[in-house]
Amino acid sequence: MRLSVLGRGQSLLQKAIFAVIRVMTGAVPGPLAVLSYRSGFFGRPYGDVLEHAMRRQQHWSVGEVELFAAWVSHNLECEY
Amino acid sequence: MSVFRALLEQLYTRTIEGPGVTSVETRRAIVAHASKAPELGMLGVGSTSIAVDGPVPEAAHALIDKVCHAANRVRDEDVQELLEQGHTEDELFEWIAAATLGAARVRYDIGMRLVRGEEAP
Repeated sequence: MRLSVLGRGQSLLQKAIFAVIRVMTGAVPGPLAVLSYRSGFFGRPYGDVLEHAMRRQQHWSVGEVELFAAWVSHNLECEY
Repeated sequence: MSVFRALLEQLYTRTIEGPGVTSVETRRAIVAHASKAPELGMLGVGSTSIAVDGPVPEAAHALIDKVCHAANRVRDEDVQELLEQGHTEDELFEWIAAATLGAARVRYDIGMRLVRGEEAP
């Protein structure tokens, strides 16, 4: 389920991007909606952590990190 | 301090200690509860209801506990019940963010201890 506020409060640019995503895929992915809502509170600093963890690791390749994330998500029954 | 650790600290500072519709004390209390290590049988499957100490509305305890230890079991009804009791979606957003960060931190700490060859708590 999704909080309805996640569909409100975005900037004009975010709204335009979301509109394109809806046309292309049918719906805005939940994680993207969370990152975009009140981004100064959570999404922006979390995005920095995510970017570093998923793309800037020194010990693992991007593919290995993606595999770790997929395994954890599977165990947590996270459909995304 | 590593870059990653510094980014984590920035995230916690902004989300837990920064301005919001809920009080900093409430978010700290949620993180403190979420930071209690879950009973890990299968990763992510943890304990059931645990009393949350501090200024967290009792009505929110069940949702927070689920987010911390069994997020895959959160249902629409869990949220709807709190909304019907007068809580706002912004309050829920902040509670859930705090619970998520608390739960993530304990898992990160456990993982780092295992990487260092220490025993997990």
